[in-house]
Amino acid sequence: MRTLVIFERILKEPSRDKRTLALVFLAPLLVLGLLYLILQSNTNLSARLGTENVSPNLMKQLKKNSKINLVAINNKRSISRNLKKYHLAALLKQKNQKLTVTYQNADTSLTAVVKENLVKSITKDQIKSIKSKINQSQQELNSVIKSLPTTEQKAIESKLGSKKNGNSLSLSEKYIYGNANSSLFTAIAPVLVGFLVFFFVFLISGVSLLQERTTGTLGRLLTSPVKRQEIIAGYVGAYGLLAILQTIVVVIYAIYVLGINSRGSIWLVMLINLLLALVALSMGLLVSTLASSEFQMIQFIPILIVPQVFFSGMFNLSDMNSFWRIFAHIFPMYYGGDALIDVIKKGAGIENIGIDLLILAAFAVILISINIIGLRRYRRV
Amino acid sequence: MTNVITLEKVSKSFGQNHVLKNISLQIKNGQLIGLIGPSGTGKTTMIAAILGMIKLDSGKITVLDKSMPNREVLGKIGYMAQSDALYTSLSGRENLRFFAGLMKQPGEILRDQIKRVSEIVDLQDSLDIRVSNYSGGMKRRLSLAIALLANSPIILLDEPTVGIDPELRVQVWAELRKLHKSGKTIIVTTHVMDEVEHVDRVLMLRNGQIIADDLPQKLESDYKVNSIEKVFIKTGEKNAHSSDL
Repeated sequence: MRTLVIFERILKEPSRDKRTLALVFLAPLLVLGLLYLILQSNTNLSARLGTENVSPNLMKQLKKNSKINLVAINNKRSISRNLKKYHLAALLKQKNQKLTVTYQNADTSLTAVVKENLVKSITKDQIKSIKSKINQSQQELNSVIKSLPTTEQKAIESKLGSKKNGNSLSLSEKYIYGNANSSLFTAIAPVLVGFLVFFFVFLISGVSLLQERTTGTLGRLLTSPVKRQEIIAGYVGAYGLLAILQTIVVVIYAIYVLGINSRGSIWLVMLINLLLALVALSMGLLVSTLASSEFQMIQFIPILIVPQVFFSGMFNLSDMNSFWRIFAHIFPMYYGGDALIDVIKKGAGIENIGIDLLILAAFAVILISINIIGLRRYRRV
Repeated sequence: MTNVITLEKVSKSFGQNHVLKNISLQIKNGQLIGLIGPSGTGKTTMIAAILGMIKLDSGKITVLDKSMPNREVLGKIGYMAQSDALYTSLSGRENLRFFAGLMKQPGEILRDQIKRVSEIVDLQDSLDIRVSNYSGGMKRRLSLAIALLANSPIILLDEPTVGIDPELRVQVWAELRKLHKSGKTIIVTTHVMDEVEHVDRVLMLRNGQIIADDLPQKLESDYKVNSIEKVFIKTGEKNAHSSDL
């Protein structure tokens, strides 16, 4: 079978080119690993907060907060100079009952840390002072009650007693996916796994067919009695296999090394990735017809690949204007991302993501057909 | 003798450039044809047209009684392109096996065929080296070997002797004559004029037209010169004069 001959030939190429092999199997692991390190550490971010003239009670609360490192400031420099001098994320100043905080805000994640924790500490401080006031008035009330005749004391106590424990609320938090320490990484990792496979398969398959065009071997192939669909089938088969292997490596790494837990079946995750890889593969092959050099192939990345990230579900788009929300539907990663999130985070089964899978399959079939027709440029039969 | 390849009023232009102008031609079974002409006259376009790889503006090409383009007929044509279209990360043998696979060569015959063609082009000792390490001449010879591999009845060779040293060139022509004797139809394009002394029909292409079509010896005597090269120069002069008028 000629498809098999082409399939074998294509697989020989990366197996002899160690750089390509490294790109396929190690680069996604490197990217995932780095993102893990960066985004994971972000959850334990602590910020330096300068304090000037802040009341001792609030200082006590701030000191208890592990995410804030306090720097007491007592000089006459301007706020911005102090921020700079002490490398502060923010500076808190108190004047009578008025607190003013000035953020450096070059790094918004540090600003967020200060904002969140400052509010927490202030609230705690307020509650504490309210509590002490309540206690005080309680004691005053008690002494007033005691001064009353015994019969009236009893009547009041029975009235108060029924309300004693009624007004305290408690909150306990539970998480379906992940836990309280879930980082940004756990949030985007499911989609990231799919996107990395998508990106690398696109790049490698596209460049590979492009090389066949530029070296003339594709034209040479077509002077043999090979069918156009046999060539494309060879490509889809070979890069499909490569994509399967890559997916297995990436998914295993994400789950067992980086500890992303999947609530749904791993096999379903693999299936989604494989479909995404098929779409990427046929997109790569198609784009290679529009490019006349590897450099031109790279130029398609910002147009075709980068937007896939934006619409992949890594970012919440529900606030976006409705035109762009509809526009998102033209990107295969939109469906892939949706399915991956459903399976990994919500534990969806194949029946829940069937439509996503069907649409991805349709993308692949259409793109592959266009590729077969596109080869007519070389030979019309 | 029957016609193996027929061109009927074939025209092809790329933009303003008329590469083939209304060419009609019959090539009979078993002919060894030299297609000559300066570069850019459409020799490669004519070969590509016969293979059915380009869309004609007008006219019709028939190969083995089938109108081109026809995929099955391609299986009966051994073709060597002007530029070496080889997989450089594969060895010579792997390239041969790959192209044989496309031509559907059965396994047992294949080993003998690879031995035969690699000996013709003197590559038998370099077959297991990767093509990326081949010299230009070796690549040319491998391309030729691929064209001869399937033992096809029709062989189209586009500039097969470019970059091959003289000794091997003689050997290649000896092989082509042998193939010719065994009854194959062969078209060879070249711009090395003395090579076509060996053929039994010279087609001279100039400005998209066939300006001479005869035995090499006949052409030489017609133009009263002693080599094809001079015939070529003479026709050039004649053409220049006619376009002056």
